[in-house]
Amino acid sequence: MADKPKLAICWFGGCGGCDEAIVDINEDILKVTAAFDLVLWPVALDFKYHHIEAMKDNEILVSIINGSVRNSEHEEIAHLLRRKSQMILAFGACACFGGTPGLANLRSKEDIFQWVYRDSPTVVNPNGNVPQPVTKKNGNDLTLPEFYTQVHPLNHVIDVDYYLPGCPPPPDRIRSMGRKLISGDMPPKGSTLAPSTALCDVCERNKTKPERMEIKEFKRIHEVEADPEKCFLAQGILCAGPATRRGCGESCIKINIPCRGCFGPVEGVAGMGGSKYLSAIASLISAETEEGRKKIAGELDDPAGYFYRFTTAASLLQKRREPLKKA
Amino acid sequence: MWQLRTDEQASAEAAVEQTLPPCQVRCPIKESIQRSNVMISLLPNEPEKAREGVIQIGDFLYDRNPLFTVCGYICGICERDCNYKTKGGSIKRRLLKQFLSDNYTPYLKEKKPLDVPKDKGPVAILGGGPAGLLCAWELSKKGYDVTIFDSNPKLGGAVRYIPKYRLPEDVLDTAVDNIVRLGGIKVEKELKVNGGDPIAKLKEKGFKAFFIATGTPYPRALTLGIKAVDWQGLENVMYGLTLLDEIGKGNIPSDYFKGKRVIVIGGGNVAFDAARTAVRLGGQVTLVCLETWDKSSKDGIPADPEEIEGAHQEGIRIVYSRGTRSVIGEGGKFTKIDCPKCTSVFDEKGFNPKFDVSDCIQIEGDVLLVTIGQTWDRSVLQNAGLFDEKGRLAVNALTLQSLKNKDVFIGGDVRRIGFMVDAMAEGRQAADSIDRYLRGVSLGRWLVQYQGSEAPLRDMFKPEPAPKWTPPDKRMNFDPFEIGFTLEEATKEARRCLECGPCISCKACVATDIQPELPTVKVDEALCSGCGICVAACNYRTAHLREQPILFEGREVGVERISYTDPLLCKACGHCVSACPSGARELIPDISAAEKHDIAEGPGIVCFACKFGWGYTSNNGHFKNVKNMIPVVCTGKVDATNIVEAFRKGSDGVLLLGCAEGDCHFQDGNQEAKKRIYLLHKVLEAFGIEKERLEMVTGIDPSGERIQGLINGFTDRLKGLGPIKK
Repeated sequence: MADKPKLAICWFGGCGGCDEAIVDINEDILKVTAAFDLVLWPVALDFKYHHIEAMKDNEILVSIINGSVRNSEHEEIAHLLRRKSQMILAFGACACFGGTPGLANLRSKEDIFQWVYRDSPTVVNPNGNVPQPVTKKNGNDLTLPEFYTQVHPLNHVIDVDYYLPGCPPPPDRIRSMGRKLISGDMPPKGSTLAPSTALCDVCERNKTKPERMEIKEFKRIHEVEADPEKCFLAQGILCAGPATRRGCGESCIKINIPCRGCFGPVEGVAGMGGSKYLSAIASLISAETEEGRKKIAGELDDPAGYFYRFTTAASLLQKRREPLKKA
Repeated sequence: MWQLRTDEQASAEAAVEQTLPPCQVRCPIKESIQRSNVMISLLPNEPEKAREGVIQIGDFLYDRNPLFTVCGYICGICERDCNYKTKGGSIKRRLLKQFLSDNYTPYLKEKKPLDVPKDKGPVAILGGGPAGLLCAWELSKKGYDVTIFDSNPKLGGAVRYIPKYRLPEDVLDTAVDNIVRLGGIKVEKELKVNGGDPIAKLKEKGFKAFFIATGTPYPRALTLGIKAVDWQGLENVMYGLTLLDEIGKGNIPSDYFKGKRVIVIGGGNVAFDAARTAVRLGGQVTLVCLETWDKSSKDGIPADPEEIEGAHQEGIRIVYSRGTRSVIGEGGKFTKIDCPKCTSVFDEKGFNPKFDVSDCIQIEGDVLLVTIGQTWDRSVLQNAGLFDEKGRLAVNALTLQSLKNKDVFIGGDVRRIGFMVDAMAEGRQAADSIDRYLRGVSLGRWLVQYQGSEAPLRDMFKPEPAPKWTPPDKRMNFDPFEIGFTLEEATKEARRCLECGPCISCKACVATDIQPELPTVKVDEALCSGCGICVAACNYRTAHLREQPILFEGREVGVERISYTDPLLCKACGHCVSACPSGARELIPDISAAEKHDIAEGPGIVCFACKFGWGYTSNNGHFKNVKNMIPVVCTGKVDATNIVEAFRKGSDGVLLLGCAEGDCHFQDGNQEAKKRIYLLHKVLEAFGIEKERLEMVTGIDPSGERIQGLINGFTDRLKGLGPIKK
C-alpha cells in the first residue's frame, strides 16, 4: 500500500454530484484504487482531516477538489490539502468557476440569510434563529464554519494545477483524467483537461445554421417545442455553445436542451466568458429600428443569469473579494 | 507549314481582377471616389480649416484628374451605379465634386507648376479637348515636351458646347488654362503643314509621337432611318451644335429667339442643351425625339433625368416617339416638320428606327434646330493614312496605337463617341502607351477586369438631398441655376456614402490620420469553433465559414467548420472581433489595444470615443475629469468585456461616444454598441452597479468641442449616485 501514490478527493460547497460522477465511472473505479492509495474521500470513506494533518508536506500526489469555497472550513481544508499535495485538481464547475452557487454573489449574505432562515415560505423559524460561528452553550463554545459573504472558485484561495470543468464532469473526461494521472502524462500546469475550442466545433447542429444568424425574438426552451436537429440559436433559443468549452460529450444538446455553459469559457477568455458571450448574443439581435432592438434585448429575462450561470464568482464583474483568512 | 505569330498583336493580355466600389468601376478614369468622399465627410466644421482641407483633397484629385473642377459641374456617371441608388438615392458625387471645385478653382491660379525637366519627346497632340488635355497632362508629368494643336479660340473641345448655365465659363477657363500653365504645355493654333500627310510633316519637325484626339466637331445630318432628310437651304434651319458653338463664343444676342417658336430635333443631352439654350434666348420650344419617355425601356430617351426635369420646368414641350420625314418651308423660310410615329428605335442590330408613316403629325415652328448627334472630321485621318482598306480607323482599342502608323495614337470621340470622362480616360491611356512606346518597352497592358463591390448590410438609409435649383422664372439667363452644397451639406452628403469598396483602394482613414495603418483581422484557427457569430456580425459579407479537413497524422479524419475573413474585402471594423465568443479573432494592429489594457485602477471615468465621429480634426486628446480617454475606430469594436473590465478596475462610469444614427462609417457599429449596452445595463444592475454608470452619446463632433461638456455632465450625474457600492 505504502508504495502507491496517494490520492485525496474532497468536497466543498457542492451538491455531491461531482462525487457521484466519480462513482459513475463504474468498475473503472477499481483501476483508481489499484493505482492510488485513497487517503481522503468524505462522501465515501471514513478518513478524518487529522489524518491529513499528520502527513508530510507534498505527501499526497494529487487532491481532487469539487465544490466552491463558501465558508471558513472550505478555505481551511483547501489550504491544508494544498500544503500536503503535489497537485491540486479543481473538479467540476463550482471548483473551477464558482458554478451555479456563485450566482449567490449577486445577493448579499444578509439577503440570503433572511430568505433562507426567515422569508422563504417553507421556513418555520419563529425565534429567528440564524447560524452563528460561535454559540455559547453550557459554558462551552459550539462552533460552525463561518459563512462567507460570497462564493469563491478554488483558485481564489489556493494555487490550482489543473481544471476539469462540468456540472458534473462527464465520466469519459474523468476516465481520461485518471489515465493521465496514472501514467503521469500531465499537460502543463494551469491546463484545463478538455479541448480548447467551443462546443459548436463538435455540435451536430452547427451545420444547420443559416449563413447569417439573426435573433428577432428570444425564446426559452420550456416555452417552445425546439426543433431537435436545428441550431438552438438559429431558433432564437439561447444556447451557450458558442462561448462554452467543448468536451462535455454534448449530453444536453443530445436530449434537445441548449448548452448552459457548465464547461466554462473557452481557452484564453476565462473570466471574460460572460461578457464575451453577451457581446456575441447582442450582435445577433436584429430589428429594423432602435426601439425594436431595445425591445428584443428587453425580452431577455435575467441576462446575468444566462451569461454568467456558472461563472459569476470568477467573472470580471465580481465585486472586490472579501479578504480571506489565510490568503 | 504554318508559323505562329510572336508579335505584340498576337500576344495574349495578362488578365487581372480588381474589386472597386461600383461608382469607381463605372468611372472611366477610376477616380478615387470613395477615398475623397470619406475625406470630405471628415472635413473640419470651421470654414477656414475646411478650405485648407478642400485644397488638400483637391490636390490629391488634381494629380490624376486635372479636369475634376469641370467634372464637378457636368459629370455624374458614377452616380448611375451607386449602391445607394435604390435605397434612398445615389450619393450626389457630382455635387460633392462641385463643392470641391468651387473652393479649389480660386486656388488653382496659385498652384505651383510641375517641377519636372522636359527632356523627353517632343510629342504632338492634335485636339485640345478632354482627351488631348489629359494626354498632355500625363505626358508633362512624365517629363515630355508636349504641344497641343487646336484651331479653336479656346481649348476644351466639345466641353465648350456645354451651356454656361450648366458649366460656368470661368470654371472651364481656369481648369484649361492651368493645365497648360502647370504642365508647361505648348499650344499652337495651326498645324502649319500646308496639306498632305500632317503626321509626316510634323515628324519632319522633330515630333516623335502623335496623339490624335480631334473629336467630332461636325453635326450629324438629319435622316429618317438611313434616308437623308434635306431642307434645301431653307432659312431658320440650323444645327443645334452650331447654336451652342456660337453662343459659347459670345456671338449670339440674348433675345435671339424672342417671340419665335423653336423646334429641336433630338433626345440626347446636347439636344436638351440646345432646347434649354433656345428657351433662354426667348424661344417657345418644342423638342421632338424618336425615343419614348420611359427611360427604363430599350427605346427610352437618352438624356439625363435632370435635363428632362429641367426642360419641363422651363416650359419646353417634349414630343416623344416621332421621327422627321420632311422639313417644310414657305417662301424660303422654315414653317413645319412632318413627323411619322416611331415604333421602335433599337433592335438587335442596334440603332435601327422603324416608323409608321400612316400616323403622321405636323409640328409648326419658326426655327428648327437639328441636334441628333455629331460626327468626325475625316480629313486629317485620311491624309495621315490611318484608315484600313474598309475605311475604318485602324487602331488597337486597348493601347490606342494606330495599326497603320506606330508613331500615332488615336483616342477620344474621334475613335468612339462617349462622355467627356471617356475621352479623358483615353487621353490618359494614350499618354501611358506613348511613354512606353518612346521608352521602347512593351505596350502590352494588364487587362484589368473590375468588379463592383456589393452594398454593405445596414438597416438605416437616408434619403438623398432635394436638388436646389433657382425657380424657372429666375433662371432665364446663362447663370448657373443649380445651387451647390454648403460645407455642412457636403459633409452630410459625404457621410451618406456607404464606402462599399475595399479599404486598400481607399485608405482615407489612414490619409486623415484616423488610424496609423490599415488593420487586418486575424483568425486563430485553434480557437475558432465555427459558430458563425462573426458571419452575422460582419456587414461586408467578408467573414464566412468554410469546411476544412481535420487531419490526424496526415490522414483526413473528418471535416470541421472554421471561419475566415477575406482580407481584400475586410474593413477591419472589428465588429466580428468583439462579437467572437471564443476570442479567436483579433485586429492587428488594434489602435486602442494599449489604452484598453492600461485602464487605470481606481475611481474615475473611462471614455471610449469613435475616431470617425468625435474630435477627428483636433489633436487634443486631453480632457479633464476623465481617467482614461480611449479612441476606437468604431464603438462597435468596444466589446462588453472592455466595459466590464473598466468597472472591475473600480471606474465610476463608462461613457461611449459613437457616431450619429445612420452615420457609422462601418454601417451600424453604434447600434452594435447600443445592443450590448441594453444587455449590459441589466447585467450591471444584477452585480449592484447602477445602469446610469454606463452611458452612450451619439452624434458628430469633428473638433471634439462637446466632449469636455459631456464628460463634465456625466461626472455630475455620477456624483449624485455616489461611489460604487462594494
